[in-house]
Amino acid sequence: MAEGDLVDQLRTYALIAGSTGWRIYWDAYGPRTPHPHPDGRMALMQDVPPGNVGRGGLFLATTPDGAAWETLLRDLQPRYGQIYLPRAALTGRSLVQLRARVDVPLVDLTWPARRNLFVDREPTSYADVNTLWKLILESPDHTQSHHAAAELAALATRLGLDFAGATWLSAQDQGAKVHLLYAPPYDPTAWDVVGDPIALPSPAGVAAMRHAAEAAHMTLVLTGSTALPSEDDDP
Amino acid sequence: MTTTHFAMVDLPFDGELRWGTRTAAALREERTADPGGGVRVFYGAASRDLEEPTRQHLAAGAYTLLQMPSFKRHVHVFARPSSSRKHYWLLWEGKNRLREVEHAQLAQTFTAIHAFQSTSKANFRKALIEVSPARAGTNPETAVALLLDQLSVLVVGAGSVGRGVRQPAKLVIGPSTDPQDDAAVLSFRENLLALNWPDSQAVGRQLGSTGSGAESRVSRERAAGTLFGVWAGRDRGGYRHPTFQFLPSGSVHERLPELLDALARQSGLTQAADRTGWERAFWLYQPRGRLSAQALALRAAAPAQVRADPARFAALDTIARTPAAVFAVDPQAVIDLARDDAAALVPPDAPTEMAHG
Repeated sequence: MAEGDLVDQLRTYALIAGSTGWRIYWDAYGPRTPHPHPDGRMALMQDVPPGNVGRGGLFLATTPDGAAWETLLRDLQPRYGQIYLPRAALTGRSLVQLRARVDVPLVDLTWPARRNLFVDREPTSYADVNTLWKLILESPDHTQSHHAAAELAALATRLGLDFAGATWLSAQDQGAKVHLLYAPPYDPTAWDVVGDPIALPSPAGVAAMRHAAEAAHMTLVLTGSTALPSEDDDP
Repeated sequence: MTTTHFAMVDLPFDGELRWGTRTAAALREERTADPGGGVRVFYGAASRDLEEPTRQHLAAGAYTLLQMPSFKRHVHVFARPSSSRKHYWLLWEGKNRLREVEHAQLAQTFTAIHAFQSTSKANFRKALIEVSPARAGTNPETAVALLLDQLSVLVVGAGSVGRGVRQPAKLVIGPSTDPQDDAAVLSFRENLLALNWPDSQAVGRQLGSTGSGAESRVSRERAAGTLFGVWAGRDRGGYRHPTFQFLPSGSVHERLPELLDALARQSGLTQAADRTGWERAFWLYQPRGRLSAQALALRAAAPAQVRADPARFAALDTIARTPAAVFAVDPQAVIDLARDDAAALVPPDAPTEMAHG
C-alpha cells in the first residue's frame, strides 16, 4: 500500500445483535427505510468520484442527542449561546430507536480501533494519515469523506470483502458513535423498532431536540412561528 | 431483552403518597388513575426497583413541579371535579416549561422520557405528569397544598430541590408557539437591529437616487428581489438593509438575487411567506460550521491535494461563520448552502417501507 492510501487493509468488527441506535427519518418512508441518496459523512455517492456506484444508507447514532446533532442540528454554531432552527425542519420527521436482530459487520474508524486498518506504517506517514482521517471524520463539509468511502468500497471489492458500513465517533456529539449502514447490504427486516417513534413536531419531539442542545450547553430556538409585525400591520 | 420501566410517584388528592414503577405496556392499558384524582409524575428508570436516590429525585422533582406558579395557576383547570376529561398530560421540558400532551402523543412521549433518562446526567430534567380530576367537593388547590406538605417532609433538607421553584414556569398549550422561542427570536432581532443597517433613504442615496425617488426605487428593488430588507417598524426607520449584500462601491452584490432565489426554495423563506424578511435574516446570521475556512477549503480541494498535505488543511481556521459574513468572499458557497438546506427539508424520492414487507 502506498503512503497516500487511507488504509492498508480492511477489517471489520461485529456490531452485535441487540445493539441499538437512534435515527431521524422521514415519516413518509418509515423508520427502517434507508435514505436512497444519502449525502452525509462517508456516504457512497453516485459518481463521486466519477464512476463510483452510489448506495443508499441509514445513519444510526448511539444516543438520541447524537441523532439530532448528526441531522437537524448538524453544523449549527451558537450565537449568544443559542442555535436557531426553522420549526419547518421538524415537519414530517420522527426520531426512532432501532435494535439489530443480527450481527452487522462494520469497519471501525474510531481511534484507536482504526489502528487495525494499518500495517507497519512509517511514523510520519502514520501522523499524516491520522490528520487526514481527522479531517474526513470531523469536518462539517463531507466532500472528502465521500471520496474516502468510495476508496474503502473499491478496496473491499478488490479484496473480495463485504463493505456493509462503518462506525466513527460523532463529530457533533462526542458522547455518541455513529453507524452508517450501506444499502445494500442493509436489510430492514434485520432491525426492530424499539418503543414508539417520536414525531419531531410533537411535544416529545421538540423536547428531544431541545435536550440535545441543552446537553451541549446551548439553547435551541425554533424560528418561523413568532409573529413579527410587517409593514402592512405595523400601525 | 430488558423491559422498559418508568419510575412513578403517585400523589392522590385524598390518599397517601406512593412510589412505583410501570412498564410502557401497563401504562398504555391503564385507563384511570386514582379514582379520587391526583397527580402522578413519571420519568424514565432502567430497572423495576426504585432505589432510594431515585425516590429522592422523584420527590424533589414533584415538589418543584407542584410549587411552580403556573402549575398552581392551572391545576384548578386540570383537576376540577367537573372536568370532562379523565386525564391531562403535561410534559415537563425542564427550564420551567410545561407543555400539554395530547393522548394520542402519549406513547411516543413515554419513549422520549425514557430516552432522556438514559442519556441525561442530571436527574429529572424531563418528566411526564398526569393530572386526574378530584372528586366532587374536593378543592384541588387545597389538595395540592396538602401534597406539598407530604413531599416537603421528604425533600426539605435533602438539598435536592432545584432553583426552578423560585422561577415562574410557562405552560404551553398547543404545538405552534413557545414563549421562550418568541423571546429569543425577538432578542435575536434586536441584536441584528443594533447593527444599525441603513434605511431606505440611505440605501437609495447609496444607489445613486435622490429625494423621494430614492425610497421608491429601493422599494421597487426589494419587491423585485434585487435588494433585501427587513422591516424594523415605522418608528425605527421602516425597512433596514443588511450590509452583507453591498459591495465596497455601494452597489448591490450581483449574486444577491441568486441567493434569494435559493433561499426561496424553503417554503418559509419566500418573499411571500417571509414578508418581514426576518426569517431570512435569521438564516443569514446563524453561524455555520460548513462555512468555516477549513470546511470551504476541503469542499473545493481535490482528494489528492488534501492527501498530499493534510497538515496544511488541518491548520486552517475551523471557526463557524455566518452566511452573511461569507457572501462577499464566496457567494457560491452560501448559495450552495441555501440550496442544500432547502433540499434537506423535503423527503428524498424513495420507496416506502411497505416495499420491504
